[in-house]
Amino acid sequence: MPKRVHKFARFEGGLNENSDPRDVADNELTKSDNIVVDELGKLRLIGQDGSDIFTRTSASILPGYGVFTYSTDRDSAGDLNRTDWIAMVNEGDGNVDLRHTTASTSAFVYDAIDLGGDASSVQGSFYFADGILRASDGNHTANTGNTKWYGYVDKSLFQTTNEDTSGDLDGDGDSQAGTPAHYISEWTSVDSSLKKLSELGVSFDLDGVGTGPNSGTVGSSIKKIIVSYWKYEKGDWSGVYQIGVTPVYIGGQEGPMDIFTETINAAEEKISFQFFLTTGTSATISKNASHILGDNRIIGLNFWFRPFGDEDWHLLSDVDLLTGGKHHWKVYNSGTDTVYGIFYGTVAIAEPVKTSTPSTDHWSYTETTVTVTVDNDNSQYLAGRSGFVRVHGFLASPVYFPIPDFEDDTYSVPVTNKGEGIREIKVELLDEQFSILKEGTREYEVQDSGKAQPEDYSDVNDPRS
Amino acid sequence: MTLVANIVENFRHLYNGYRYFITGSVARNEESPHDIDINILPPTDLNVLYSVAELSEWGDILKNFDDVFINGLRVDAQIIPLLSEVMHGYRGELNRYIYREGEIKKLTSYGITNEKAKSRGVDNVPFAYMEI
Repeated sequence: MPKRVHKFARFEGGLNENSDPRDVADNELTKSDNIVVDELGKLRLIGQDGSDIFTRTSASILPGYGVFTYSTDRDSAGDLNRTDWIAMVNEGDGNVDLRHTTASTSAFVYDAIDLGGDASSVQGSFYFADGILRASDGNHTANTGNTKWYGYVDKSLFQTTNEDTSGDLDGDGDSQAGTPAHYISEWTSVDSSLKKLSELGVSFDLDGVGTGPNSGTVGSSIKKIIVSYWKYEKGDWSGVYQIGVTPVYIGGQEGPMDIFTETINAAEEKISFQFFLTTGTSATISKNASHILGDNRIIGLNFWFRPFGDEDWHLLSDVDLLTGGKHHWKVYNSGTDTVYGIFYGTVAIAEPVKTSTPSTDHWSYTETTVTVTVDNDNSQYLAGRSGFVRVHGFLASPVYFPIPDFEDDTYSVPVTNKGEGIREIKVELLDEQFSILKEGTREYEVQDSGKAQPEDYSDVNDPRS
Repeated sequence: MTLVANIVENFRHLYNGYRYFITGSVARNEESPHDIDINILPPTDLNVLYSVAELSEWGDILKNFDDVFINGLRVDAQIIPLLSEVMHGYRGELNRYIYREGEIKKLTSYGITNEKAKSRGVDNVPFAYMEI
């Protein structure tokens, strides 16, 4: 009698108890005891059991809903250990309990995720990707419609030093890179949606008084963003401007914008900005304390501006809450530091060194030096900062000369006199961002040396610089 | 510099991965700049040869800045594949791509600063840039 051979070699379709047996596909199973088929071409024993899910008499699960399995590379304590999880919605309180198994040891995290209500109709629905569990109520009745985000956040916020200075810098037994003012390393459950900052309870202040924000402006609580600004003459800002801010979440996703109530009025001015985030009444934030902007996932801010009435916004500055800028984050005391960062003093430019012999005249088209004097009323306000002096009015102009700090000092800047005549020269004191802190001018007379103007220079600025 | 940003917004969506920076005298906050320098960082891997297609795209981008004046200042746009290195202090050999007379041209220089600017000490201050 002829035989027909049916070869069943693939079972990756998994267990199918739903379809009629005649409709089960060739790669599916109708019954499986202690066998797993998750690897293509293999039937494997299910492996070592963990401890039983112990009795949860206070919990009940709506049949057909609310159980989900996933695996992470961190355990419940946040350490790097492969861990298998079972998420289950407790029908009694609408919360998600998490049973986790690491190296055959199991335990529960109760009420890890609040789906929003205690109703018995909560129908848990889960999605897991990139180490993040997202949970929602499929019944859309018990909660406010927000899907929940549950994942591990390990971020060193507000670094105050270079990140290569690693170690247990906050003394809590865990090592982290750099010296963060706030270290967050914990499982986090928040609404999944990317909220605007005001929805997280953050308030805003645009502070244009010309100094840093004082204690009245800063207040005594967290969740406040202050933008201070200073205006200088001769700039491109003209009109009324709005400032907006958006949060940047882990992964670089940008949230919706909040617009500051106050506006900036400027008339052909330059504007320097400083950004402040309040930490309450303490200079330090304890590990895993609440994120000062209300969501552990926020790692940056984007500040935007637009002329009042325009539709389009333009990026003013992106602020990294982790590393900060080149000089990282600094702790600011609103009680004592309001004038920090402001140059109180003068910068002056002397007559250039006379170049004739004997030294009675300034000869045209002759190399010389000019002395620039920085006189700072209180260098402490700019301690640790460096900048430049920029000298105008000579043959090659402007000339840049770096200075190591803003202490009282004099600098000899090499320059070349222009042609014969009364010449106005100017010095500008600049910070690292090329903001003009102070300027000084004077006139001096150049006498004809008999030299012709060098071919390489016209008597104007270099147009291709 | 909103006017420059507006120019870029007209075509930014057409070319993925490019970043646009204002550099030079405007970024240094000089009171009398004579042009507006735009440096463009392409998404190209720095270690590969640039293909004809890429160069064609670069030409298309640079063409948008050709013969453009803002507030009387000529816009001088260049694509610089090593721009991010320049921002971190690189002062070695540098290829810069410009658009002149209807075609893209390659210039090679040492550092980002020309000799005249060096004589003014520009090389002694950090490379100034503002992303738009």
